[in-house]
Amino acid sequence: MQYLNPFHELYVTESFGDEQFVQLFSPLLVDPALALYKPGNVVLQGLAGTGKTMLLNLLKPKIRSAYHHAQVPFPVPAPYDRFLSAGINLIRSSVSDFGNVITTETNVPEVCLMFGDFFNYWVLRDLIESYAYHARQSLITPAQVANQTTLDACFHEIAKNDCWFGSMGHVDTMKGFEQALSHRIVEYRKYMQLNTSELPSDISATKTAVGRPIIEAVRLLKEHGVIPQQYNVFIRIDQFEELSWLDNRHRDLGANFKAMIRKLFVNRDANVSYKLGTRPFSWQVDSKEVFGTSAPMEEGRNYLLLSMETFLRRGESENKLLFPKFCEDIFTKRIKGFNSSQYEGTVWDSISLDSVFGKRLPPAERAKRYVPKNPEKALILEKDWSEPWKRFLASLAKTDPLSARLGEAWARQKDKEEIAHISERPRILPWEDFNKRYWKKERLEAALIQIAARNQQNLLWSGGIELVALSGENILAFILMCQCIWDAWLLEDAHAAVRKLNKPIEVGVQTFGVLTASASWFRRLTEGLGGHERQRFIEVLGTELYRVLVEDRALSYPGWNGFSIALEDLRKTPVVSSFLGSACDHGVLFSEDHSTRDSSKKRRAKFYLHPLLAPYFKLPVRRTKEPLYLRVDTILSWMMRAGFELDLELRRRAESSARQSLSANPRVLARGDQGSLFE
Amino acid sequence: MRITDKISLWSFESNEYLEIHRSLQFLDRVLFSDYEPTQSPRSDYPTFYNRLSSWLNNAPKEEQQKQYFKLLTKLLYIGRDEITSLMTSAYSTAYMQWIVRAGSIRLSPTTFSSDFAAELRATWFCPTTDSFRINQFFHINGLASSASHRPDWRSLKKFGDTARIQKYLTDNKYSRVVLLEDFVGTGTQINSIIKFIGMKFPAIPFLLTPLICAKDGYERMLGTIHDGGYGNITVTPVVLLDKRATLGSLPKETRQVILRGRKQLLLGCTAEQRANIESYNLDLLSVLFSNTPNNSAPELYMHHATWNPLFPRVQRD
Repeated sequence: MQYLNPFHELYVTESFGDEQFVQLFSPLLVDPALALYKPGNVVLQGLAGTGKTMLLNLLKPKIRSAYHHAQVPFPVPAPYDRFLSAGINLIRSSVSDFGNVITTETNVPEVCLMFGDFFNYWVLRDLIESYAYHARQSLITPAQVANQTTLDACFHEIAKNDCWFGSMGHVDTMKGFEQALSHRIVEYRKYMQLNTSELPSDISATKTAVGRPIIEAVRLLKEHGVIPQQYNVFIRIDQFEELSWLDNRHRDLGANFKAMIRKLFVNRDANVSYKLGTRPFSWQVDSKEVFGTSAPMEEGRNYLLLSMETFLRRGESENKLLFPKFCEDIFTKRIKGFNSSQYEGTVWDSISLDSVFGKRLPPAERAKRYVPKNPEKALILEKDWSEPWKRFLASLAKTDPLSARLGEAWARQKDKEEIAHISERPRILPWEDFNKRYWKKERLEAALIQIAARNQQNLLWSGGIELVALSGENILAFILMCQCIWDAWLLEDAHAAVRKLNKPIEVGVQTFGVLTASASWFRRLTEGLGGHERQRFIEVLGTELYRVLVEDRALSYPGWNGFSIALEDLRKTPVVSSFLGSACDHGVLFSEDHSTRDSSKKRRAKFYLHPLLAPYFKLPVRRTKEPLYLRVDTILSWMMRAGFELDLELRRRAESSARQSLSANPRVLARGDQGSLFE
Repeated sequence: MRITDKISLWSFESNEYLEIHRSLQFLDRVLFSDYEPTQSPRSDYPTFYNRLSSWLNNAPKEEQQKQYFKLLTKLLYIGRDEITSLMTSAYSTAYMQWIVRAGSIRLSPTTFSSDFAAELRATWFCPTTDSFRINQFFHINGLASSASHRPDWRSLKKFGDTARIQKYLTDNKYSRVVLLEDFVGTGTQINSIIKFIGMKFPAIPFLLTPLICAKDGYERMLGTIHDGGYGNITVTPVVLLDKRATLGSLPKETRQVILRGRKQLLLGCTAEQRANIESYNLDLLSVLFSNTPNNSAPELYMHHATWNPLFPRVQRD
């Protein structure tokens, strides 16, 4: 019997059928994303793996039908569940093939208008198919389904509308209408494939305005009662970000196609709403210009922006616990949906993240595991410290290496050094004092990293809560970790592993799985435009952050698993701000504004690696205290190390900064004078 | 310590170990699980990962274990599919080129097909030893054989009657012979067959095609043909293994650790095992899905009281 991995497929939306979608979809995201199912234009932005496509898929008729047949309540609550949707996937519909027709003599604006026309025909054809599917599957009550005479009369009237510029004049039935739509799409495809030298004149002379025929058709379909009045009509637009690649074919071609899509959002209409899914970088970086005008579209007025990251992110008070719940829900659905008979009579009957992964080892326990042979190796003792103090720390390390390491740090901190010169064993341990609990708490992870480093040990990663934290609000990251842990668990003896299901998976196995997932996440950084440069930069950044954290013997800067830059400085160096912005948009870095404690009072932005990269670089996943304050030139020097091509002036600044860093005495860090190193 | 714990620990030093493990996990799934000597229900050999764990534990020190682990990045595992491809190449490349170069066939668009078909009918394809799966060769290349016998020539040399072999060739109108072999290491075994055919069948053109051949063995075969003046024998390996397929290709540190560890391996060997290593070892890092050649580094296949193999070798009696 082979025990397979329930997390083998990372993407539900791409690899699973509609029935499995019903089984595995988590309805938890529907409520915060409810605007997606209400009238009104919505831009849903989210990184790969955040669940964006899953939410958009709920709009598809086949998914609705799968819920209907499985007799599972549709996750979208009434009255918002009454909608009809059509859509276009900008990749699968071959829109990118418009790039084939571009030559030096091509009239590019005309190609953009062709794209708008193609879009109209494609979406309307899909809308008719969607309507027919709803009728066939009884998703619209039979009493509401129009008879053929009504349908033909309706489509005859739609065809007569002047939005078509006469191209549909010959059509008088629904079937004829569908045929005319398909014919036009085929002609466009022939043209895009260069099978015809030019578009037939009857098409090129009757290009429709983007969105207009859709509005007119839906209005008339409702007037004739074909689409019930209470039904909303939603148009899905998937893979918007992929249009950017057309810019490589011709400068601004992709940007113009995007501007054409944005025009749909400006033509606000009560009958039709657009639901666009995109990755953040594509939406945020682009201008919001609308095709044919320099006027930009406006958030709030033309569309509502929904960000997956925003409503999944921790700290949003109303949804504070959404992501952990989401993980728990996805996790249990995956396990239960995966041939549950394999796990009968085991802990999996009452499955939860805690029962499978347990709780994270307490810090003191982890510290003990990092010093398996010689606990004194948790410490570095200075020669000029008194013997009683040194003896005390060495003795404490044998029973509590973490406390001993914190004691070492205490003695190294400014104004606390006197303890290192005591003549007898201390009676109280100030770092363990209740009043100093936050001092201790803020330094636990940094202290553990140093203990592990001094003993050549990798960090231990385990526990459901920890896995959620490592996911960085990205469900793909979470499933990847589950997949790797499961693989590691089954690795040595699948049969023996399953017999051991009455207790959580061992910490060592979880650690190995997390490390493997982290390495895989790091490899994935090369994906997308500029990915290789991003990965090289992250390699430099992660290595530097680890170095400064480990060298900070006084544990004065436990928050240096991230860095901070003054916003004013960032604005003055667009190369850096644009790169860091793009890294954030790709989900490689997380950024937020923060208040500063330095005398300049300049507003700053702080940046952290995606948490799943923390195991790869042996960094703490949690953020505490102040991050590492850097000058933009330091980032430039790291970009240069990562192989970025910088102009002469920037290179000079980068080299100058690199020289300063290299010449800086690492002890400076221990004294806590970070300004002298980087400022 | 479990292997996953080891790799977690080692990855403190470098994430390279995680990457090696990732490759091994993939190869285990697509290749290693097919290793025939571990397939028998009577086999004492557990899964690849359990073997890997025991194999690494042959080395007493962790630093040595890391080097053994790194060695696996250079392993050349020839699986079932690879053998299939090599058999196709042996026919479509080595054999066809031999025929054309021998001048038996003109590269004419009008006559090539019929000439080739006639030449094919006049060729007797046989295995050199019993390790080559001749039946598979025929199936893979879509060859319909008129030969009712396809004996291996190692057995023919031992038990055959030269006159009867010659008569069989004449009766069946075979004017050429192709001898196929899956693997040639030092060439010791095949060398005696070369001498046999060189001396007993000097008028018959022979093509010897090992699917995989170590450079040492290839050079030895050429030397024997040259020294014996056997102009009727051509040797054309499909894949020639040079230094890149041996321990010599490993970084110096890894190589030194493994060679130091060999002393421990040899200590547990029987006299016969030691003699075999001395005679055949080429320090190759090759493993065939059907067996590990005795020309491969003994660290890979040796099995005795103090050494656990990664790819146990089935030894000839």
